[in-house]
Amino acid sequence: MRLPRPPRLRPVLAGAALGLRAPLRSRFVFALLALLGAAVLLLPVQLKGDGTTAGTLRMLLAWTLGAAVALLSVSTLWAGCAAVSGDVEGKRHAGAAVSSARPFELWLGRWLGLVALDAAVLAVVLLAVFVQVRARGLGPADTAVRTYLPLDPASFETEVDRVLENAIARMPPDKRPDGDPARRAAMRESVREDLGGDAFLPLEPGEGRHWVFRLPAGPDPGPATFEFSFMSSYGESQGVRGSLTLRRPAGATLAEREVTTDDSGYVRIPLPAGTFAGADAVEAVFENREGADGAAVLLRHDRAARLSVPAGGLPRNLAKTGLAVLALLSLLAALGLTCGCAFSFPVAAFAASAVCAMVVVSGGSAFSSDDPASHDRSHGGSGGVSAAIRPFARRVARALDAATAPYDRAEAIDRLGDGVAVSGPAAWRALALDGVALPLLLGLLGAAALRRRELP
Amino acid sequence: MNENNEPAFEATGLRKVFRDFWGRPRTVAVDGVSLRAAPGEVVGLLGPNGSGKSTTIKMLLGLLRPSAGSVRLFGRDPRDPDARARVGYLPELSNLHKFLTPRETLAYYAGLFDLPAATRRKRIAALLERVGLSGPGADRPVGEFSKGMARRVGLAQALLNDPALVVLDEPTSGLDPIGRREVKDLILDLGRMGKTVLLSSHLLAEVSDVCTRVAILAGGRVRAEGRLADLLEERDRIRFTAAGLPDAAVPRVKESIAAAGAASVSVDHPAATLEDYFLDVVGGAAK
Repeated sequence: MRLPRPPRLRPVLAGAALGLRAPLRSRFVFALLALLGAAVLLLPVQLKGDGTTAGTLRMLLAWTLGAAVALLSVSTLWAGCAAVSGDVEGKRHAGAAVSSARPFELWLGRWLGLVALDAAVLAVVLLAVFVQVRARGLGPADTAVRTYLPLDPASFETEVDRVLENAIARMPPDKRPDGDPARRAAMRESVREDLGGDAFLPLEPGEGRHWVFRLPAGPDPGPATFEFSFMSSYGESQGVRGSLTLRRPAGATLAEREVTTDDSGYVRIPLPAGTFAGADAVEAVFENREGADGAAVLLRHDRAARLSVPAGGLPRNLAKTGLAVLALLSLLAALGLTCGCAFSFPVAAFAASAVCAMVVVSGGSAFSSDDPASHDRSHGGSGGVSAAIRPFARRVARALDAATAPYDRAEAIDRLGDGVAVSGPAAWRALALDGVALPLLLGLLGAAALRRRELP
Repeated sequence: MNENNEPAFEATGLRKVFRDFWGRPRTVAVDGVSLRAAPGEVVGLLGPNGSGKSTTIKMLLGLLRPSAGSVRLFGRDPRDPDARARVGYLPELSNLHKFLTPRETLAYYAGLFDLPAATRRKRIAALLERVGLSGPGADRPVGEFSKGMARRVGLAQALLNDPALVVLDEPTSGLDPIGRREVKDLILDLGRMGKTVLLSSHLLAEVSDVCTRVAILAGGRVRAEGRLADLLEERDRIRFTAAGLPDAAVPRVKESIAAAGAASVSVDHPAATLEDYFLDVVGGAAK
């Protein structure tokens, strides 16, 4: 079997130049720029914020940028669909098809041209958003970005053991797993899954929950913020009463506070710079001080306690957001181009849009859940024609989820709007996988379609 | 020139059936066409509208998949990039990118053919000069051009990679008489340079002026093929040509031609015009 030859630079660059020139010399770009201008410049004027700095920032960063990214996404997808299919239907493709340029080189060139245009437009949009933020008098102090410190993995396992012991202590003596290591291990695994997942677990009166955060090495990270989120299990009437303590592990207390129902489920403790001087970890402890008949407090372990420290400024966060968004646009350009290689423009646009719709739906669908049996139960049993389709649908949903997971995990726009640092490694990973690797795979499909396509 | 002296192209038993959306056969556009061209030949492909000329050409170049038969370009699959590197193609409808200038158009195709920058610059300048677009027209968008001017750009594009095989589908379409003459001269030059040319045209006069061999298609089949001189020769008639011989002497000339010793007597076979021959063949196929 002959190995495929790598693409040559000149044919690829020729296609890229064409891919850049085509939209720039059409009315398409002007229409797009006008819509983007409306999104970035006019939309913030129309939106009413909540009067707070954080709310204004969220509006300017997340909503405005979100609208601009949505516009860019749709236009990129459809421009990709039109690029090759338009040439085929307009009988402009014959010259290229009879040239010595290989189909993958033709695809790659057009894709690079689209991505380059997207990168340029995205840079302008991000700059416009940044200028707007500054024009509203929001300086570096207002737009400082923070990052949440991760939980210490070893302390998490210790907490699993503690929660397990508490749970066993609450069980009737005859139900306890004493002398049954296998059952105890299964219970521990179940507690571990719950504690590490997104479930809200009850903290009964008299019990406590611990979190340990590893501090970054180096100088004091600066003023930090500790946030505690909780829910009352039985509604307002039962109430919540607990104590929240921040301390060095087996060391001095750094902050202490009572937590009650009046806190409305959220506590924020600012910690001045120097609080953590000399420490390499911080422990947070919450104890439910209600009496034996009191209410449990519901906590989602990974979100209940969060410690954030400063992590750079807005420009760097915007740049990382740009990387993640460029990954998405690259993928959409590739999807559109590949569909355009196989089909006429209307069919390509429909197919590409349908794939995007499936990705959006699959992300929130039970088809992507890990418990097929529970999904079958909730959807009226396991028989019939739909039962034959469900395994396939499940695989498709998971494949689509996996395809966009790198971009989703970066959570770029949400974090930007919340003033939280976008993870640099996550952004680069999104660019590498969703922005380059997956598009190149789609390119192979597109090239194969182009090779087979007839030009009557 | 083809180094191995193998045919520039060779088609055997080509058949193309166009099907509808459901896969049912709708039209048999080409039915059993076999065609080949030796290196350096100028081959004309003639036929009325719908005879399968363009379809045959597209199968030769790999733009359409034959329903049956085989095609080789320089001994290779027509989709092989190395084979295509030696082909220049001017389609019947050479729609170019309207927003590109002729210079940018040629630069684009030069890039696709992986031509180095220096070669690209020289060749683009020479071709623009050759097709009469070396002035300000070279930097105007093709969308502003007339059909004839756009055709000139297409012709330049077909010659950009200095191809060994040039396929021209209606090359003079839209050109004025001067342009048509220039194209004919160009084709003759290409033949003299040893390039193989496949020319498809409705204009019989221009085919007869430049082609060494023709193939006539009708109804998707080759109805006649061969050297132009052989096809047009009417072997059932002999023409005597004599200087100053009166008509009454013709019977005696036939008896005494050998003994008469006339110095300027020549005998040859009259040739019909290509147009007459073409109509005869096509008319016969229709019956």
